[in-house]
Amino acid sequence: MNHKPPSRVELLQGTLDVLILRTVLAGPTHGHAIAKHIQRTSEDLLQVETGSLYPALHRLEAHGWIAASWELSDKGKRAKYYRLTSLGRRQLASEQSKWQAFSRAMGLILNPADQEGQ
Amino acid sequence: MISLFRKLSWWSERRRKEDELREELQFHLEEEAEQRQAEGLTKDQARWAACRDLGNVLLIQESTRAVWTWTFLEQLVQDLRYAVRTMINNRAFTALAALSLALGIGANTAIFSFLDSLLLRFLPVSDPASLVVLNWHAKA
Repeated sequence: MNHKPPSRVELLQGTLDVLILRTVLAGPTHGHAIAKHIQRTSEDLLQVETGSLYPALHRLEAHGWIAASWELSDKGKRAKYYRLTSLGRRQLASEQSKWQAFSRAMGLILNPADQEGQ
Repeated sequence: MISLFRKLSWWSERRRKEDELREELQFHLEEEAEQRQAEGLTKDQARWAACRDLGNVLLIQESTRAVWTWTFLEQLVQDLRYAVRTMINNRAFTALAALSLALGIGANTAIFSFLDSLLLRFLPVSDPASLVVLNWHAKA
């Protein structure tokens, strides 16, 4: 193999929660699938450490933003599935708009070319 | 608020939560191993790779457990129990410490209540400011 592995981006503090909430929006998901989904969807730029994933899942559950239940996985094994609660949906919406505002602000400062063209 | 009730109920069923967390992490491990095996590793290689990927399981359990309850309170209780145990094992020292505390507090209280009634409080009469001192001298 001579292609370079994609350089990884460190997760910013507090971003894991919103990433998890967004991932379980699609439907009940177990921890492993959540980590893989975040990694895949971010084109391998974001690597979710197991050491922070499970504490985060349990913290979100404590907040009541996600709820857990034991179900059988597609391979017939017992797994803990997390799904978004209505409280979590509201939290996700507010976090999402916060992040969009933040990334827009960062973009405006880091790429001032857009304004200079005007 | 919801978080408080949930934590209370979790605290009452800690044992079950422990088992569940172990099972959850075990599932993660197996899932990862299967995925690596599907990518072409042998069974053993896949298992080791999954273990490496998961990292320190005890540490994960520890930090997840910290979410369930109030680590601060738990540690406070641990410290208190440790203190009581140490005091029971070391009675002479405990007695001495208690005695010196008692003497110190007692002496301070005694002196303060004395000075308090002497200097700080008004005299127990209706108009203390109107009191005067009269001296009588016989002419020599």
